[in-house]
Amino acid sequence: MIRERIELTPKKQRRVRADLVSVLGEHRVHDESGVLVAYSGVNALFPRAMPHFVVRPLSTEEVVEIVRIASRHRIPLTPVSSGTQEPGTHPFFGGIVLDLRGMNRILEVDPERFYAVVEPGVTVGALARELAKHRLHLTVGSFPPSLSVLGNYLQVAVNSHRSSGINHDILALEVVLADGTVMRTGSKAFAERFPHVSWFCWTNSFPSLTELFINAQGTLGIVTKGAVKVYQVSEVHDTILTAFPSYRQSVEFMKDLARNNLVQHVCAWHWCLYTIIDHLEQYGHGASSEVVVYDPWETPDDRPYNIVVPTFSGYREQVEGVKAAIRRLIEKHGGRDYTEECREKYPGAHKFFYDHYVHHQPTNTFMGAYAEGYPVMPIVLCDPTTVADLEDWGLKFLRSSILKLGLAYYSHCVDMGRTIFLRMTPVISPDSSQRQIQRAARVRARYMETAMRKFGAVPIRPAPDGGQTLKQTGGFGQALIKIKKALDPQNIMNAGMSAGMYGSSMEEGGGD
Amino acid sequence: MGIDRSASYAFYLYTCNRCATCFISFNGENINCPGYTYFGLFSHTGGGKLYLAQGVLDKRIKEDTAFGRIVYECMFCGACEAACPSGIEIIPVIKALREEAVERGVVPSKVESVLRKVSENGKNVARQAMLAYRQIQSLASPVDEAEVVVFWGCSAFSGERSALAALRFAQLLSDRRIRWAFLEKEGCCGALPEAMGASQLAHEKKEEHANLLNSLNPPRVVYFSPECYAQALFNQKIEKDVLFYVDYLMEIFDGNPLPGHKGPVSYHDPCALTRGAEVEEGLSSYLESVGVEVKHPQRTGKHTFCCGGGFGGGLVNRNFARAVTLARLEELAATGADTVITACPRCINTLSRHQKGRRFRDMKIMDIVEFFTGG
Repeated sequence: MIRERIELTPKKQRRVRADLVSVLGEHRVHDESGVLVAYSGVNALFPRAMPHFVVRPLSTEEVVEIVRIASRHRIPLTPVSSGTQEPGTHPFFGGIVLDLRGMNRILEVDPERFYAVVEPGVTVGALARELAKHRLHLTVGSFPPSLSVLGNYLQVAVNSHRSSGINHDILALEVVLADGTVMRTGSKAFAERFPHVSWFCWTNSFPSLTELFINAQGTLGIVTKGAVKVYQVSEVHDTILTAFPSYRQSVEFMKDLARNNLVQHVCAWHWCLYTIIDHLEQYGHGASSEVVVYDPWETPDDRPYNIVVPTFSGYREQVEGVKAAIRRLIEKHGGRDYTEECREKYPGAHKFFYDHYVHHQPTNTFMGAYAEGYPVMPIVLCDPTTVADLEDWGLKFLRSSILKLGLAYYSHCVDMGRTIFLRMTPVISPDSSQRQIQRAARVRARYMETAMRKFGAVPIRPAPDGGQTLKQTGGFGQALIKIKKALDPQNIMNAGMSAGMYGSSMEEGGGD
Repeated sequence: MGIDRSASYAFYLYTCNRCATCFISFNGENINCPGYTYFGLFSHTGGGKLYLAQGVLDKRIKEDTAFGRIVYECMFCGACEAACPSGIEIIPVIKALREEAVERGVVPSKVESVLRKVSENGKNVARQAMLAYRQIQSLASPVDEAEVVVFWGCSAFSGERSALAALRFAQLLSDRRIRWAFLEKEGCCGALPEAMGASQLAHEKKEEHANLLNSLNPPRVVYFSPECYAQALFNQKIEKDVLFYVDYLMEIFDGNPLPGHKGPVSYHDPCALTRGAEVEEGLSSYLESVGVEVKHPQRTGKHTFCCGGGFGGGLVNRNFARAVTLARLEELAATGADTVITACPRCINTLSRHQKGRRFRDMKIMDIVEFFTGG
């Protein structure tokens, strides 16, 4: 089992290279340090680590061959498509990085069966454009356009969220396992024997293995295809931007909407954040969060504390009815219709909300904010009964810490209000010292711990903390480690991240 | 100077979150980075260059010949910088990486020989361009009697197509009885050595260029190459009125170009014009302003795509340059127009070179001066 960063002797390096070249050819195998450094991690709190090779497979068959080579030589494999900051590329133990962007075919768009089948390199923008030809769209709020569809959907709430009973938009997957087995999930599993069976169904009468690969960060297998859910462009898509004076009221309003089936999606935007978005949308980029000189819980003027954005669609008559009902709920929860005022006062924010939540248009607006620095974003899925208390405590806690810059949040109502997603958005300056970065990491860890202990929240994705987070899950963690060991006994798949996620119990026989 | 921790770009090296907009354009569909088009690697994108620079600063990479090759496997077209939603200035980082390669002596040999030629002030007149060059010389007025100086730049006579376009421009000026000067010892404006990372040489050339122009009588300098024009625009030592030849053409025509083909035509915006000289609206604005029907390619203006002739890439890898040119020709052909207009000697040579013997051979690639004067 791979337990630490591997070192390759020059001889072994040559042998591995020769094997990779025999599958991919010279031009898709790289070991120049100038190439490797671009795959050595992302601008975040995690340490950097150089891989030994970067390879660019173009098909599932090539991925299978690479997996076999890695397995034969006991070398870690780190798959990457977008490799953006959040999921990232972390070859902590070195080895081979598989850049899957070259696998960029949209294999099917099936308007009748309501899904599209894509490879990992297909971008949100390319798929959105293709779907538009069929009067279809991706899930609400899928963006930005240059990112991988599967890369995003395989991590819960990286960039896509829906509230109406759907937590993710993956219907089924094709995965290459550590021994080279190619596995398909959902109905497509039966295509092995009956090739005409399509990807239409998420289940196949056995336990669902699709979910095993969501949030797995490539530690259990390499996803080479995925069928994703698509949605119809209806006669009318609309929103009523709603102003609320407190997050507590916003949450109650969101729950009421979702639980009464009035919306496909609803989310709340903290005033600091929609002010920044307004700036980004209007001026292109370079919005400094310092434009907002604030106490995050107190607005400087009459701007609303939160803007809640409900998304609904359907036939004209139906949408009129929904609007009438929403207006009644706005009144009930003490809000006000802010649509026109927002258009006038915050045209950039207004455009952003309409682009994403009404027109389903992927844009890059949000990305401009990243020039501020490293995002240190404590993100949780929260208990709907305590989330407002967490917001109150969280803002005060973070405000008193090193993480002041960009302190704001957005919040999505997920799964009909059973879960509330809350993402605080502080950043630290890139010119921070190593000590400051470590302090920031500790602040985030403390926020997460309190969010769990006191407010009953769960983390959206674990930090690579040597298995500490997984340990807190008891039997679940033991079962997951057993699965990891069964699927990948040598710890080939994203070995460094695996050590971080599953911890030392993976090697000690924990889970046995 | 190379990669420098105290430079203004250093802060931003660590803020790229790899959103990929620098190489996959704003609509998520087109690859807008020539390097990524061919190599398919993050290291060859604008964002990747930020990581490369971090690697230099953190001493995680070997600054060897492979490093030298990677930093020049880039067209220096600036599409990455134009697209970056965070507004990160990527071009200064690429320049600094190339300076690093120059300092370490790991510059590819072809780049080295081009720089040597620049430093020796060698005039690069291609054999096929010689006839046009001589004719142009014969049309010029003595510099003391001229109203304007035309600065041709090193790419104008590097190929037959650009030389013919230059000749057409010279003929037009003479037909209109404009007294224009030709500089026998034009020298270098500094654009090329700067893009190639030879900062000291670039500094010297810029200085020489400004001194040369300032010593001449004519108050106006017309640049035939957008690369030189972009360089001159930001060269504060030049005390002359600096013009791009297309603007000068419009001035001569006073909004009424000679009768010619009214379109439809397509066009290729040179990156040195739309991004370098910040004429963001590009060639379509000139064409449309005189009533020409225009068919827009997908990538235009500030987000135009390289012709394959950018600074660096083509010198170190011909297949790379060819692949980029073919991708661009493909896009231009998809507009359905049989005529493509451009306004850059480097672009016209590059695009014409690769259309020969291929399915693009029926496409007419013209300089805007040729188009406005009847093809």
